[in-house]
Amino acid sequence: MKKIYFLALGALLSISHAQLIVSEKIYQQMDAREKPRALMKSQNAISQDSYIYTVAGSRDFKSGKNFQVKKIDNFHRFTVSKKNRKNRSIASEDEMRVRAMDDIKAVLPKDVADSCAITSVGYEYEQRDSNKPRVVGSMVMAHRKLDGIPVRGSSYVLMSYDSTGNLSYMDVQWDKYNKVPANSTMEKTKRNKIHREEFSELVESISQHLKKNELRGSLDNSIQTLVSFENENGEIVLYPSVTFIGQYSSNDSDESIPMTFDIPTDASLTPNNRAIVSK
Amino acid sequence: MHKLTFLLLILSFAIVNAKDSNYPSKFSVITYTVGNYGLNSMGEPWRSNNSLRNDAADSLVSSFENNITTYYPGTRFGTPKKYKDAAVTRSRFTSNESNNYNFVYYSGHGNVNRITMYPDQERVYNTDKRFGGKTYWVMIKSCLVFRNGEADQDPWFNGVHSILGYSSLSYTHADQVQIKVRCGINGLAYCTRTQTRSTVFVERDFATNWIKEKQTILDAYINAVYKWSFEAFGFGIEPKIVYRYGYVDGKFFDPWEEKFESSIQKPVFRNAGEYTGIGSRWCTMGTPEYE
Repeated sequence: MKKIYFLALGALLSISHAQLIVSEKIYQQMDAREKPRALMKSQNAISQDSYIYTVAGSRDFKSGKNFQVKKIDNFHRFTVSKKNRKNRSIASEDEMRVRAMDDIKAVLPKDVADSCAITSVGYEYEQRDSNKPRVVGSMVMAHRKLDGIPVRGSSYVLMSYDSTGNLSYMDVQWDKYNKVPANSTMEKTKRNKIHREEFSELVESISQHLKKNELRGSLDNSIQTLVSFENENGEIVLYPSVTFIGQYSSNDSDESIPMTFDIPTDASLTPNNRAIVSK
Repeated sequence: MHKLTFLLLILSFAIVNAKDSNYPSKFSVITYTVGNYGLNSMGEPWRSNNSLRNDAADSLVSSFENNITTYYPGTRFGTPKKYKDAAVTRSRFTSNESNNYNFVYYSGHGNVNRITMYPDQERVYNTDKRFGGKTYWVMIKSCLVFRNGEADQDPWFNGVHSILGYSSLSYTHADQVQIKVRCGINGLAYCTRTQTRSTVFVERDFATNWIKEKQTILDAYINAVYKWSFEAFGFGIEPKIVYRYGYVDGKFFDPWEEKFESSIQKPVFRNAGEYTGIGSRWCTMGTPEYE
């Protein structure tokens, strides 16, 4: 039985657009970004420089005292020595996050380690016959932050812990970026207007796609990110963006599939032609 | 002096190649994928379709072939067999044909203890098909077949070393909606989002991890699923391996850690009394779904 797509606006506080429901929360977040709280009189307005990040190739890594590094396709695999292992077990999620960051700092160069943020911890289980399952390993994923903002590009760190609770291997894919001072070429009001127009076009495009494929979906939340786009010159650039997060499912199923979309908040930024630091 | 040099050369050649002497002398793969389920007996579409399932099989076979022919030139790569869509019937899948291939791959809809064939309502249950003969490894890309706490894995076994699958829902997916955004000076140009992501890279990377990078079959699988289902798309998921374990030729064998370069080239644990027990391993990534 097909479900009804258009829901009462009241308690749900959402806006329906054919197959896609957009949460009111997203528009509230958009408003907040466009109109940050006014500074108190005692505060001085601080000039904020703008930057974009241009891709400058992939970071290379070398073997170290306790690990071997091998380049595989577009990432590096760090295989950790089994010597001098600590006697410990697989721990709780919070403890694994701490342990993973410690291992990242011990193995990876400081500038890479300082840009890592643990984003997920998964566990590996074993079951024999009718015995209870037991934890035999863990996988930890870290992603990248630049100036404290999550990066949606191709950089990641995937760590595998074995049953001894020690790091077994680590896969690292890490782009090199040049941080480039940039100027907006559009006034803020116009940038905000374009961002909202892009969002409306996105909603329409997703709705059409969902309708064509007999799906239904929702956009539920948004966060600020740095996202890689290819510009008109074929260059890969990280722009300050908003990532919209939602889900979709088929009309006769409750199975939800995540979906994310990215729209720059200021893609009019153009470099001052002076790279100040590589990251 | 020349005789001594010749003998030394022979000896060094033998030492160099001793490491590789356990790798398979041949390898073959057969795939069954249903990307399009067609219409049911009432003329209605009865399951969702996804052509990526067929692409995933192509990705797996291609990666197997590239990696084996490059890194194991002494292994003869057999002509792969691929069945798609309407050719994937219950009678074909349950026949003994798959016993002639070392690696069997299925992608399509599934549920606890069963997978779904073509056409309407044709299903293969765990009691309908026992993998054996020359089949040593199987990968089932379907939802829930080995759901924790509900599945009965053992009937699938008749000599196969291990079966890779999922305890949770699994996904076949690629970036679908490509958008362009305005950018550049005064926003007069257009930029496009750069990432190319697809779950078919799971099959590609699994083969590379296992063959070229010499990982255990489970590590190879989990690594690939983690990167191209969980990291790429955020799908909560539970990849799983199931097996019988015990002693082979006096040595303990836990199939989850089997490596391609030293894999056993015969069926194992076919009959009761030949193995110690049944086992499984799985990895929980994110928040898997089961309904």
